[in-house]
Amino acid sequence: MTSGSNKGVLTQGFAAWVSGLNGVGTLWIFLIMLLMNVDILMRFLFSAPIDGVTEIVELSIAGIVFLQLGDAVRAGRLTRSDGLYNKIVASRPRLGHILGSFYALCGAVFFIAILFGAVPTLIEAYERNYYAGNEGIFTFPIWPIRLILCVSCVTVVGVFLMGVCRYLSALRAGEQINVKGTA
Amino acid sequence: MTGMEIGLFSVLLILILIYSGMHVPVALGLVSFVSVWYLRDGLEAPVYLLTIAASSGLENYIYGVIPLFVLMGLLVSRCELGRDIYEVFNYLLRHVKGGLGVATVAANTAFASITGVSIASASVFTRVSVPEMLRFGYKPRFAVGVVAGSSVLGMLIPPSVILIIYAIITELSVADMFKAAVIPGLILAVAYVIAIVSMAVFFPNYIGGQDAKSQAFANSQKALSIAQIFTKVAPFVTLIVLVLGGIYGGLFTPTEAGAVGAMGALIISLIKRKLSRSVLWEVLSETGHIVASILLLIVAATMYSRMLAISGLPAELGAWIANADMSLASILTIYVIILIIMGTILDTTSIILIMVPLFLPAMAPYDINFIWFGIITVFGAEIGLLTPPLGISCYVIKTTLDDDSISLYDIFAGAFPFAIIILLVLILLIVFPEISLVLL
Repeated sequence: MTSGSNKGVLTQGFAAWVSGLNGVGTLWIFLIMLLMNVDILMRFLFSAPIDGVTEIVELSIAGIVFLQLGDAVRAGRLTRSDGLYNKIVASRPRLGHILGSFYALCGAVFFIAILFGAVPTLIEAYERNYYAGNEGIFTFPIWPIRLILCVSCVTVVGVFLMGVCRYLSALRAGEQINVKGTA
Repeated sequence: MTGMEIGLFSVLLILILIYSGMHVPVALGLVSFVSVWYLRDGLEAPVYLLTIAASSGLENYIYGVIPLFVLMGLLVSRCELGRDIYEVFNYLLRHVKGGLGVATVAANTAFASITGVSIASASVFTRVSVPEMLRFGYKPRFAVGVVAGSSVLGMLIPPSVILIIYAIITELSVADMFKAAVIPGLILAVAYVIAIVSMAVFFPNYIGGQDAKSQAFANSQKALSIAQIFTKVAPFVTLIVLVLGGIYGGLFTPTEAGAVGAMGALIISLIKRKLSRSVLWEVLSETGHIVASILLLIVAATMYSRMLAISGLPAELGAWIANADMSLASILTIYVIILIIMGTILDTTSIILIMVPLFLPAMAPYDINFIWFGIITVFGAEIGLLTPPLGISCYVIKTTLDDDSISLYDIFAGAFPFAIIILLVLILLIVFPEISLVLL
């Protein structure tokens, strides 16, 4: 991670970007919680629920999840069963690093596959102006959510590829790296 | 290869990749993607299915319930409600044999009814009740065993994220799943209590802390006033009434109940002055990580269950079971054994997402109630939380404990009697489906 200042700036910038996306997702969860509570209060106190809360919640889920995925992957929070893998890394580090880089690469390929389908839906949602909700009461365009999904997928691919690089450089240097906190 | 062979090969490949350390959602999603590609002989079908799973599939109101309940659970874990309720039960049960152990179970049961994540219970009670039991002369192995055993109550007693996940993938009602889990969860808690009291009576040396000296020490503790008990219990009553009362009173949808519960937990932690801006940010960010990993698992599992359906494997499995002329009891026995074996290497969510799409269609000829089947699945998968090599609850306790004199082996050994109790209660639930279904 420390070889060359250019690379350092790039990785630092990317790290800031990943945690920035996570921050937006984090704030979003909080706002959804507040919105739903205000809606419930308005409903019980003034019999005047807020229009479109259900639609906003529905559309928010994908946005929240994908915004936070990059940071979750970076922090090593994706579910994995690491009992056998840790043993391999401890006893045969070279094999462990090769496996580690292969799995990170598979992660990148999986998100490229998601991206492959998500980009056309973004273009379609934008060009045909898809919206959620009921016309005249509350409508909300769908394309921003699709855009978040695509941008986040690219980010997650980046995080996984950085994981690949880290495993490969550890393999070359012949050093041990900790599985926690790496993609 | 026939579709069924591809399906079977994919399931085996997924299990091997997961066991050797690939991320579970990546293994599920990517292998399923490639199988559908092969089965349909083109990229169009797998790309379409994955896009549906990852975008419009997630646009479902019910998914909102997961972040909100996780947030609520993490908030209440931060504001020492676990410690409060434990102190109350300690005081009330001070004359009971093995009282500190019973209090741990009782406090976990109460805590489970305001949180939905069992990992939260394991770490909270490792900090709260293990030191207390050790202080009163209980054996370390018993102390950590009780905490490990009762932490699974967190997932069984509603609200529970794992019940929500089962309800989502089987398209059942979250409220019904919650209702069905109440009595089985309470039976498990009562079974724990009976076991602890019997151990205290018949094997006092296994538990420790039952001699006259410890008793005298216990009696010298200062009493709690009624007002103190009230302030410690009030937050629990409030949250239970808001969340469960709200759902069953027909006031809220489960998603709204999650939002109200999270708000309630937020207000309680503000009143108790346990919430700085940085703690709130930490809790929210932690919520995000948990939610992102759970929902990505669900996306990958959706892809996987489509792949299974296309391969025809579950239908073939059903036909094979029907041909083999097996009784429901023997099928369920095999199913539970598989769940327990998988539980030794995988977390509960992953097990449910892998097993249910495979077995649910195969169970159709038996005309069973899928809510009951869900309760059995959750119980079976929970046993693995307590068993080596990868009992997750035991690992959480070990990491939280920060005490090298108690080894991971001690925790597994201490948890073992409780794993057996879960298994016995599970058998009871299989034999008497009414236990789970009576409240519906």
